[in-house]
Amino acid sequence: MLATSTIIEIQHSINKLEIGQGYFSSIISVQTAIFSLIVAVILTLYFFFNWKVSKEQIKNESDIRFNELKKQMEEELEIKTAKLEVKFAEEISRHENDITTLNGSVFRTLGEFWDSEKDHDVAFIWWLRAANKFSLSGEDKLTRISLQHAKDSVERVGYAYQLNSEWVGEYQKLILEISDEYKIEKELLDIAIKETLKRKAPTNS
Amino acid sequence: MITIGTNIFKKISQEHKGKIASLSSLFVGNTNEFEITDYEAKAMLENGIAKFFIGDFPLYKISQDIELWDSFVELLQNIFLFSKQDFIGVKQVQFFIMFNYISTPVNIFFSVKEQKDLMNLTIPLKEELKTQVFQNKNLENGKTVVLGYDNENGVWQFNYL
Repeated sequence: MLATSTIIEIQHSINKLEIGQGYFSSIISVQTAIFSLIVAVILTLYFFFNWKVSKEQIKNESDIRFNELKKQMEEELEIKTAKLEVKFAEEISRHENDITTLNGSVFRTLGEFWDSEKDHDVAFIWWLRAANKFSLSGEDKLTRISLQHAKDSVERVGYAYQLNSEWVGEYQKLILEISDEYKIEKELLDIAIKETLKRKAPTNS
Repeated sequence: MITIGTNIFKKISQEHKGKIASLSSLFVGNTNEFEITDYEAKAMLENGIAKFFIGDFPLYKISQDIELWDSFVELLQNIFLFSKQDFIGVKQVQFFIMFNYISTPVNIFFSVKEQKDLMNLTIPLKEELKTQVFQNKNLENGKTVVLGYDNENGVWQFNYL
């Protein structure tokens, strides 16, 4: 009887222990789960924060590098552009001079042609146009020669009356544009024109 | 004696010559002090250019009087129109006006292709004469004045030779 009651008590104790063990085990499990969740949240937040910081840092770093590179490239481009501008300006200027000289040569040919046709009033303006172009392109020798020929053509115009009225205004404009470096030639031309203006035409009637 | 010389003398009709003489006499008082004559400029004639030399008109007196100036412009217009009518194939009419102001020879050159051009250049011409010649204190003996109309830029150019 005593043994039976002892066994029953033991059995009760075992049952209590098992219940306590189960209860404790459940608490542990819940706590573990909560802890795991907290750790997971912390890790997630840490990762997210780090990720965000890293992204920001990368962006900032990239921006700085990009700006530096941009500035460097801009400076290089500016230097290259300036060099090219100088080079192009020289080239354009050289070509412009070539074209101006070419114009002068064409005008000179027309001066020669009209002189050969004995139309000295026409030849005169072409020589002067040639002189103007040669002076603009810095062709010193050709400018002097053309001014000399313009003078010769005017001297060959018979009378003031035969000077071409259409081109007197143009002659005055062109001669002003020719540098005073050719002052002597310009003065000689002025004298030739003045002498021609003094020559009055004989009448046919 | 005031003179008008032209390379198209033979082409201008008697009627038009009479009209030019009549208009010109306004500046001297009678037609006996005026002559219209034949001046040679063969190459210009062949190129369709009618050339007119207008010599010794009293431009100072003319420019001082509005009516006389208007008559002078009318004379130029008539010369232009008569050239167009009597010279078939005329491309342009060129004028060369020469007169002496005190003792300075004044030479004026311009060419006209259309009648409206004549008005455009005679209006500033009066002012140019006033400022560059009649009011010019630097006119010296032995010097020559040249006034040329620059067609390309539409301005009068002045030279003092």
